[in-house]
Amino acid sequence: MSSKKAFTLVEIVVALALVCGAVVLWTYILSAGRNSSNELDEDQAYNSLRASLIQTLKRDVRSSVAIKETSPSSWEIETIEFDDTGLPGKKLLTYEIDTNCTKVSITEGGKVKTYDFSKILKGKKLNFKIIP
Amino acid sequence: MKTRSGFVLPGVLMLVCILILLAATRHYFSRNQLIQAAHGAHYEKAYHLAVGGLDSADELFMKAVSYFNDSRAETMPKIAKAPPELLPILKALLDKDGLPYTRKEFIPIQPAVFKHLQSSWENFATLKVEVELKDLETLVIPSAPGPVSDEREKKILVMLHAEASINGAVAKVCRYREAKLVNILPSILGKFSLYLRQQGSLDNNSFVDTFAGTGGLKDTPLIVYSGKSTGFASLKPEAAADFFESQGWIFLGGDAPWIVGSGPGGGSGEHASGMQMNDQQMFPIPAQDDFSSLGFLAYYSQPEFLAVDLKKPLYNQAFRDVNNDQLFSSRIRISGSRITPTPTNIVGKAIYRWALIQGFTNTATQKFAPFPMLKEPQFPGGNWPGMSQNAAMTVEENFAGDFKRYSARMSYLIEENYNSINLRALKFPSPPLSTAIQIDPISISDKDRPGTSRRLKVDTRPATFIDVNHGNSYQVCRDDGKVLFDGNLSGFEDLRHFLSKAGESFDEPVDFFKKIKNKEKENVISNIYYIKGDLLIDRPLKAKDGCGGMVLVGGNITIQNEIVAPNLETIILISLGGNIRIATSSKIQAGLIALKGSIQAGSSLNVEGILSARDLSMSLLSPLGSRKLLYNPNFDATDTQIYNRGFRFFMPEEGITFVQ
Repeated sequence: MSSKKAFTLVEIVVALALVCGAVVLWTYILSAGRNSSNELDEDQAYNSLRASLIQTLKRDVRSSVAIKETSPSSWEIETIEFDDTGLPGKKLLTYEIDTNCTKVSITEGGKVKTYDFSKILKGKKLNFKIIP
Repeated sequence: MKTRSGFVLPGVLMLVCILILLAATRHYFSRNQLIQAAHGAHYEKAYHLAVGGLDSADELFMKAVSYFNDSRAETMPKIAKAPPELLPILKALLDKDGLPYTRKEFIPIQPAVFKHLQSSWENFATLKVEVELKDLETLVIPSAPGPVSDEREKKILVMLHAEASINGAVAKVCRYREAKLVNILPSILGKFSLYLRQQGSLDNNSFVDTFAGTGGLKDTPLIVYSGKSTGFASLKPEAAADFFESQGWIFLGGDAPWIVGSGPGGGSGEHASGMQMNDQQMFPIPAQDDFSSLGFLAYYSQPEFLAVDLKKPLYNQAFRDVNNDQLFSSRIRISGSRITPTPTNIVGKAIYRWALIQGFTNTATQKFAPFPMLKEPQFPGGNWPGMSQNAAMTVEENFAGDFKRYSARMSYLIEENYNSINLRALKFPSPPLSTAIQIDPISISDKDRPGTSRRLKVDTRPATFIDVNHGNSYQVCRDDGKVLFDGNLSGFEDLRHFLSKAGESFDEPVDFFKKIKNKEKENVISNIYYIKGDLLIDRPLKAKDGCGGMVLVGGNITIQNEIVAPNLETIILISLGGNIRIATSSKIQAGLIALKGSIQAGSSLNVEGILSARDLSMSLLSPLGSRKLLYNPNFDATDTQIYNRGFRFFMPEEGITFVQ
């Protein structure tokens, strides 16, 4: 008969404590990683959306022949671009920011393009203004 | 051996993996953001490089346009005389006629500054600027008898395309302008130093002239100098056509003939009519006449100006019974002055009137006895003006009582087609033409006739420079054969087609003056302007050296100040529906056109250009002042070389820039 020693209570307690600690640490790290990843995603989405809006606005302002503030939250920009015949023609764009200051929309001949920051900003407000 | 398995190690390894994964993710996103930001930065650089390239190419292009618009002779031919920096662009821009032309291909522009621009930026920067010229519309004259369009006059879209790339970020910027390729010459009107559609209220042949000094004159005639001056018997017949072809012509419209009396201008050579012969000729008395036996007597003939003095005893009352108005002369001296005669081609029905004094002369005493101008019933009986009855009876006997023989030797007024006096400028090799006092153009052989005009047809026949050039239809051509006008010159009054050439339009003259004022505070004309109402020119106007321009006015034009055109550059003022009033004695170096109204000269008149109007009205001007019109040959639209020099490429200084 072989003599086998059992774990002592201390060993078991220490092992359980270590396992628990490891599980807690792992969970924490996973959670922190997920949060950080989500933040990065949102940051990335914000930056990408903002860059796209600024690039569009820059192009329109650089191509503008007239800029008019129609209300505190709305601006009309008359821009030039090539038409279908290859000749430069005028185009009227309306930039608007909504009342919550989270969405910027650009209207051109009935078509609306919206830059929606509402999901990214989490209650914060966009400071968007065009100074003619 | 006893195997023991634990889970701490795998746990630690997993933890490490997770941390590496998180770090990789962060790195990935950060790198993506960096790339995006770097691309944005490169695009900004590329954009500014493109704009810089566009600006420098634009400056070069504008210099080329400015050089093209400079019509001074020293810049012709354009490409041969072009400055080195403009040569490549002008070569690409201009066609064989030296005019900008549209095409599908883009024209690259490479200013010297490009190399510097590119080298100052990143290594991986490229920059390309090209010009594109696109037809927009031809400036067509509505189809109607009269002026003919030049299809080369058009509206052109000028686009400068700039493309810059830096590290893969490409920016495309375009700048455009609507330009007009137009000719600033006033079409066929520029061929005529004076163009009057009607006689109007001018009462042209009403100048009461005298030989006895200028103090007695009640008016000042307008002297028209239509180009080069030439004296009597100075042109070879074979060279005459070219001479008259290049002169500024005169159009006198309407069906009623214009009587143009030749006047002495109070004895002033500057105010006396040009091309009036005055030399006395003597003729032996033929055997059939009684006095042929008196060797000291001869007949004489002397052409003379018209003046009321011819009724006075000084001239033996030779024209006493002639109505006063028959001895009046023209208020417009259309062949220059006696000192500076400028014979030219008169288009229209014009009659030249002058006096021929004839009679006996005593060759020993140099005394003269003019025979009075009589009507046949006056001839018998000896009741003649300026002569005793005995003397008259003696002369009557000399002609054996035959009025026909007398009338060939008496003093009388001669009326002839105005252009026939151009024959006086021709140098005929031998008598009788070389000594003739009056030559009937019909009597001249083809050998001695000057050539016909290549630029004017009257009722489909080429005009001559010695016959009446009057008809129902006129065709005016350039010397290269291109028809500029086909119709009735008297009916030509509508110039609204010039409006399509206008580059700038103003509701008020104040805006016009604001626009043309330069940094030196001069009012410089360098485009075609349209002002809707009236225009008062109360400050000096000036032409940009080498450029010139046109001012179209809907209403009346009043000129109260000088108009200066360096190098006789062409400035044209056109009243489309009103009158032009000249209220200054200062020099006006411009063409004045009011085909639907009058040109009114209240006092002195000193124009170097052209005058075209429905009619001309001149107030009486006494004491004798100065009224002169000098033709500016730079207006001559029938000369192809001059016409082509009249083309301008007008476009706004500021273009519209946009991002593609």
